[in-house]
Amino acid sequence: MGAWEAVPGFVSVREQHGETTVVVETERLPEAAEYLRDEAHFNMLSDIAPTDYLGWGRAGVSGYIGTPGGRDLNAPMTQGYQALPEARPKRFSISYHLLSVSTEPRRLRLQCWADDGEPVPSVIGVWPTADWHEREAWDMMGIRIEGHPHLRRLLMEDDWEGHPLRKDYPIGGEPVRFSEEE
Amino acid sequence: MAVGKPLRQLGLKSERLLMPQKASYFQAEVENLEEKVGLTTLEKAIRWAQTKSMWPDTFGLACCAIEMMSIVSSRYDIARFGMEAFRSSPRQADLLIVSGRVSHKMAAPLRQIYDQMLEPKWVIAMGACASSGGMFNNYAVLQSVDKIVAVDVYVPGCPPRPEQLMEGIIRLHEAIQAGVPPAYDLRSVAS
Repeated sequence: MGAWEAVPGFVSVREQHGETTVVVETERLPEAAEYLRDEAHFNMLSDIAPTDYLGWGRAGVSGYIGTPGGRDLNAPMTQGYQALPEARPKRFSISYHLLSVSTEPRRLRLQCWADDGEPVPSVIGVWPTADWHEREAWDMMGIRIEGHPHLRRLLMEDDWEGHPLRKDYPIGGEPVRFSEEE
Repeated sequence: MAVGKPLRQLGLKSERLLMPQKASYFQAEVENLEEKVGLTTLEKAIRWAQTKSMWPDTFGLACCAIEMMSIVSSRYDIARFGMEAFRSSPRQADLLIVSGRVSHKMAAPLRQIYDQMLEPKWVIAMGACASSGGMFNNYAVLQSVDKIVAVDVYVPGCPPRPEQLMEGIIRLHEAIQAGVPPAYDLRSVAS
């Protein structure tokens, strides 16, 4: 399908590594989802992947590998090129991995961005499987989904405080006996 | 209980076991006599019966469960020891083999299953995660199942080979026949 601009709330499209990513505005996400399901026949939602980009672009965080001078991984044997990751618009990106189950299967990533505390509308009316994926997004990342019938914790206990897979959540655990930590 | 007996006569093959408590001299004399004459007491017969047909409870949580399943298979064959009947109901099980990492969320049902088992009951902590939390020292995994139940035998490994688990089970059998009480009588925690 050529014209991704027809998707409601379209912001940008990116084709990289053989994958297409369409970024839409967060408020118009259900319309975009319905459009993609009906017009482009993406009838299956494989996955919802929320990602936390806290601290992105600062030194020492992912996106920078190699020597202190920097290294451009796409051009091997280059020294002195600082391959900085491009800036992210907001803290969280929520990626919806869509699949069209048909004789010509295609995959698409529908992406929207959200800040901490910003609610994201639910696509449960478009693909009912989003139920548990959105509950996991709430449980692990703290992304509040609007319009979800029963948004409660899925993997952690019901009365757990905090959202474990955020970048600023500590790993927890106990000090190991007979080691220096105690 | 035995006082001053070599371990082999107690049926133990290793010293690494909680030693039975010292009892009176009279009891030691009686046991010596029994050994020589060939009598047995009711307790010994009961312990023998408990050992020879100890039914485990199906409590496979994670990867260690695969190894626990493989000791039921023909190559390692725990049916030799009368234990191939893994009971799903804790009411009918004697032995709880906690195989796999126990998350904090799973800890409550684990304790409930343990409470539903009838005395006498034994617990084997199979694998590194059940013994100590294993490689997972984080917010989600309970660091050692002996925080919530009283464990008799710890089997290290990640996962332990079927032969290692069988060694742990056999040591438990030897300990029971030697008269070591179940762990909830010995440990003060989580009993």
